[in-house]
Amino acid sequence: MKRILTSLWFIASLLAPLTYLSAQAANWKEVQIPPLRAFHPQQPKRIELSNGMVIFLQEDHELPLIDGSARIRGGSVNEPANKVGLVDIYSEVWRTGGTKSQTGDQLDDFLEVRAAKVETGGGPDSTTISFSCLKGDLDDVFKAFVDVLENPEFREDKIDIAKKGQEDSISRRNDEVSDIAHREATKLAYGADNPYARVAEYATVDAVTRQDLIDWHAKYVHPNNIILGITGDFESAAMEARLRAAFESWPKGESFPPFPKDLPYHPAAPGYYLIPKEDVNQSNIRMVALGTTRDNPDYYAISVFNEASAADFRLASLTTSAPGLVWPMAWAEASAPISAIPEFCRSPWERKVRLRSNRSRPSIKISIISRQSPSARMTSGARRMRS
Amino acid sequence: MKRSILKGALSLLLLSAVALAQDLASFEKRVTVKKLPNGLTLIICERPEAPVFSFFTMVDAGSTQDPQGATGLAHMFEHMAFKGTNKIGTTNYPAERLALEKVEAAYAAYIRERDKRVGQDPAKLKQLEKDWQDAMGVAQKYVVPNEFGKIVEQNGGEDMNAFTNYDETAYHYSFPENRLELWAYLESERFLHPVMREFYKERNVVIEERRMRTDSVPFGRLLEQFTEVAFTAHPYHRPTIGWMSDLNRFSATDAQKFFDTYYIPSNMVVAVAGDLKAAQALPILEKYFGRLPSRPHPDESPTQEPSQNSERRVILRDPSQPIYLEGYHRPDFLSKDDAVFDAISDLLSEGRTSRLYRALVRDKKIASFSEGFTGYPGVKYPHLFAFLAVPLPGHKPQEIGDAIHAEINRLKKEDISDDELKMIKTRSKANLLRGLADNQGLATQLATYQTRYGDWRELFRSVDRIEAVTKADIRRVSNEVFVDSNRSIGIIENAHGNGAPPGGEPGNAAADPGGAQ
Repeated sequence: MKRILTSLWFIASLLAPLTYLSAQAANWKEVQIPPLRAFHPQQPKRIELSNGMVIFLQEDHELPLIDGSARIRGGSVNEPANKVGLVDIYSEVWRTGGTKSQTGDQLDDFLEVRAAKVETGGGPDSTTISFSCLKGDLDDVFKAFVDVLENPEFREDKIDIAKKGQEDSISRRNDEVSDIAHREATKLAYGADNPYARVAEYATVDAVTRQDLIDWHAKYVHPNNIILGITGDFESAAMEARLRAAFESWPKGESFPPFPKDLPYHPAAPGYYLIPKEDVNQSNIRMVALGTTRDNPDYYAISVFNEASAADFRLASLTTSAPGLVWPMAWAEASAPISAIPEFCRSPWERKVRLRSNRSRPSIKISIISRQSPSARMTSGARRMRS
Repeated sequence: MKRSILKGALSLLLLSAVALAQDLASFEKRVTVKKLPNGLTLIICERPEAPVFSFFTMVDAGSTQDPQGATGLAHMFEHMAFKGTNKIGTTNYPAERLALEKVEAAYAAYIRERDKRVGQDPAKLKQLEKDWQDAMGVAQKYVVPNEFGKIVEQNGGEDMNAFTNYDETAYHYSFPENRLELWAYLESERFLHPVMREFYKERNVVIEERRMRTDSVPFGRLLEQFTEVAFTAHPYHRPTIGWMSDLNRFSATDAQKFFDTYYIPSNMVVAVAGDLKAAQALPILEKYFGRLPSRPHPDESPTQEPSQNSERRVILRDPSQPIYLEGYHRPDFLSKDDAVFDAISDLLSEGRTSRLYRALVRDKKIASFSEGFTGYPGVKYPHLFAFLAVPLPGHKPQEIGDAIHAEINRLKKEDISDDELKMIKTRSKANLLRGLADNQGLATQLATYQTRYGDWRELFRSVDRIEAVTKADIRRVSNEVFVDSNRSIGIIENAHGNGAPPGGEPGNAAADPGGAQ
């Protein structure tokens, strides 16, 4: 009896999908869409140490790997104008320059033989240090991670390599039109002296010293200025104990505001700005305007607007008859709080639009890089926009 | 002390070996493969982490299959696969079909006149071009622009994209798990009833893509010239994006013919990974993908590249900073030495312990970046093992070439160290693991290995092949392949002399944007 019931259930379960299957859709609108499975993702465990360090732990036992990343407030926006490039150099030499007990090269050998990584990086608003390892190597790799976090040595030979890399980038920055367009459009939107727009020069790179890197680290790398996240194949209780042992006794330091205040904004006058380049057969157009900051209460509304407008741009481009105004790309820059979210990119190949949300009258600047000299129509257009 | 290090290393190797064995075993349970009667292969990988899935449709045809005189056609079809079907993207398909036939007739008449070398009639040409434009205007009236993409996006599709390379064409995006049937409908329908609508408009998009990636970028220009010189006979010498004259010539009819020839079920593998159960998903996939009609496999035997017997060199004098590139011919991916090339690439390029980083960047301080890599421009046919380096200001490409050749000579003359070999092998295991952690990556790898080797398990066996590589293999292969007469070199030299100060014309305009016109 039980067996018959089981068989019946089995047959029924077979029949169910068959019935379902017989209704093969002839049109996409006829395809049945069942309700989405409920999803309650596991929330990370939040720990705040007595010294202010914030930690998030997320267990994930799918693969025998562990990854961690610490983010530290303070970035290139905070570097002095005569030392632009400091944070780029710092965030490379932080790792390559080794620690007090081992050189960067020794660290490389130690980690690579374990297929593990400890890496550092930097951006406009923060710097980061991260690690990645097989779970069996956690003891070794975590030790190296903490050593780099707390005891970097910034050896001169690696500062030299980092500076040469910076100089190489400066020498190559006019090789590709999209790089030029990005750099110059950003300067137009913010003003060339704004920290989000300024770029490293040979002189500013040359001015950076080892003492600057040491001072930067001493100023910013404190537990109350750090958020650390770890994910992977570990038990949270053991990991928490490990982190408390490593960081609980670390003394507090100066803390920094989430948004830098008093940044200079000198946007260029609305108009067309043209940069001729002879070795290309395509123009690169960006439309830019100042945007908003992340603490704007309308930040998410603006984000949704940005997505929707980007989609509209895409559709518009498909129907436009203007040759070459095709294939738009859109994205939002999440790392820079001032870079507004309304930001599109479309072109011939690229056009960025930044809409000013906090002004009643939108102002738009366009920079164009083209192999052609500006036509009379464009020049008059530029005058019109300026008047 | 020494003993404990050895023991540590041993336990590490054991650990990763065990972890991998577990993974293959766990994947055996989670992966279902089904070859349909029409020849199409389906792969389902259960990974119920979150209620989403990703897919990867791999078509075993790429720009190598472009017909003579129609380079860029494989890539062009990839763009057309987003234009909809006879039910999606149209207001009235029967009428649109007739209108599209007229576009093709008008285009053929226009091209016949345009390409006449003798006796071309300018007035007639102008009229024929107008007829073609007018016919496109009529067909356009039936188009619902971008409806295919809109359906995908409105249903929560993410990362919808595709690519074409020399070996293959692939399509992918991610969806919520309850859209599995909708996806199966859309993805099969797109290859069951593709419509070549807005073809010539989209061709202009592709032409702009060529200008963006190749014509307007110094490295793009170098790569195209370099590849053309390195391969003389095999279709690898042609650009995937296509030559400009071909882009301005091929037709929607050509694209449809390419589709009919190469988008056959036996050339296709569709892999799905995510929150789905094979028992329920497979019948749905079979139902929709089973509709594709089976067709005979095309006769494919591209001209083989003859062995190279003299060094070749391309020098671009550009308003750009210098770049150095060189490549050596090697056998295809089925070669017994394939893993040896992978090991050499890892040794030379992976991380700051790599030989090229240490020699050129750290010690000699002549480059900002340097690597050796295999698989250029494809893997399916004999291809190149290549070296790329970016010289620091003031250093000539020749210095870079000499430094790379010194590293190659070391490979030929000395065995690599035990630590280096161990590093390569451990890294290959860890890299495999790191690639298994997301749906899109999984679908991509499973489809790729299934297509290339006929078995997705080769993904895991690739680690065994690296494990079997010996020091002697590395010396032997280096001596066989890294030979002067087997070398092609591509160099960008700065037209204004190397190490020119930055801030040329664009920089100056940049320094004073208010002064730009």
